Amino acid sequence: MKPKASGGETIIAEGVKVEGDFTSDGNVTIEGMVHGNVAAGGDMFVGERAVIDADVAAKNLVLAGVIKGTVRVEEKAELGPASTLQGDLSVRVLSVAPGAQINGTITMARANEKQEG
Amino acid sequence: MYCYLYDTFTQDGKNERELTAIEHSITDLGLQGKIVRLALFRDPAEAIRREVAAGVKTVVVVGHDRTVAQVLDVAVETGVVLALLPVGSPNVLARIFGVPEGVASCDVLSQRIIETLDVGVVNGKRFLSGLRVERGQPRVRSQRGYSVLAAREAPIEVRNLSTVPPSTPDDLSNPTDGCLDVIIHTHTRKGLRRVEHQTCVPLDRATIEYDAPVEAMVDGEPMEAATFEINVLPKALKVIVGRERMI
Repeated sequence: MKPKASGGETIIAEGVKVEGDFTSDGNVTIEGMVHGNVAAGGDMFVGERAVIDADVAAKNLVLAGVIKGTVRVEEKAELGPASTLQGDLSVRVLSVAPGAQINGTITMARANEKQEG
Repeated sequence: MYCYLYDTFTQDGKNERELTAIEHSITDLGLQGKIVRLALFRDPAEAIRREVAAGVKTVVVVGHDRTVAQVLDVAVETGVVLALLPVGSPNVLARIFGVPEGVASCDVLSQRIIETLDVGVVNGKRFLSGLRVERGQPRVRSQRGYSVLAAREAPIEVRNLSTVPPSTPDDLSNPTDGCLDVIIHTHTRKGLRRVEHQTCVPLDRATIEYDAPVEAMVDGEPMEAATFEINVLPKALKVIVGRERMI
């Protein structure tokens, strides 16, 4: 079998809404709406028009849209200039662009520490 | 031991020269086997079951995509290896499997590279390529406890391979990952411009619901229903493929 680059990736595009607790073993891209918890075993990209009304867990996170809920990132989170996070964030490495809005508590773990929860 | 299954249309005079060349090549390569010619009231499944019981290990379909669709059920149920010598059209599967047309297809048969592929099931009917519904507002309910809802009418595909002829391998879903790719096509407008979006969710089992019955095309055959129960049979079909395969 020849390898496929995009295998296992989940994309929730504009015009689509997810309801319920959503889990994926791979990478997840969200451009639509999500009402329910979201957990990705890989990286998560939340687009500019995306609205997530739920708790989020991912290995790495790039946020350009809106998350209303608790966010738990294993490695690195990048918050873009138009992003909004309304909720607590736990992460190891954080990058926040000017203009990003965070309303919540940020907990940063060291590289050799395990995150709670 | 090989069994060659000739579709009815291959018995037209216009395919005679090509078939003769293929048969000579098969003889030269030492791949001879029993020939079963399909006819209007001859059930291909029954013919294949009989040949498998007699010791056939490989069924070679001489025909096109619809011929493969006719024997998919029995190939999965018996576990026989399926090969394709493409004659006629549409022959998208042959291109995906890297099987060239004409005499060159016999070389692929002799090389005997075998891939084991997933097979999809919709409302009890098996499919290899996929299904597509053009109309209606779909609601996809995953067995894992979430739903994916289109905001308005949106075409939906369930792909094991592809529902349209692929241009490149990137157009294909992975038929060995134990999942079917559920693709919902939506669009938005930016001024006068229509912007297309594609949602992709890999699932092993789901229900697609509509408010009223809609027509789906399943491996090129129509199926009408308001609810489509889909699931995947992982590694259910053994096929002979060429080195130039797209999967």
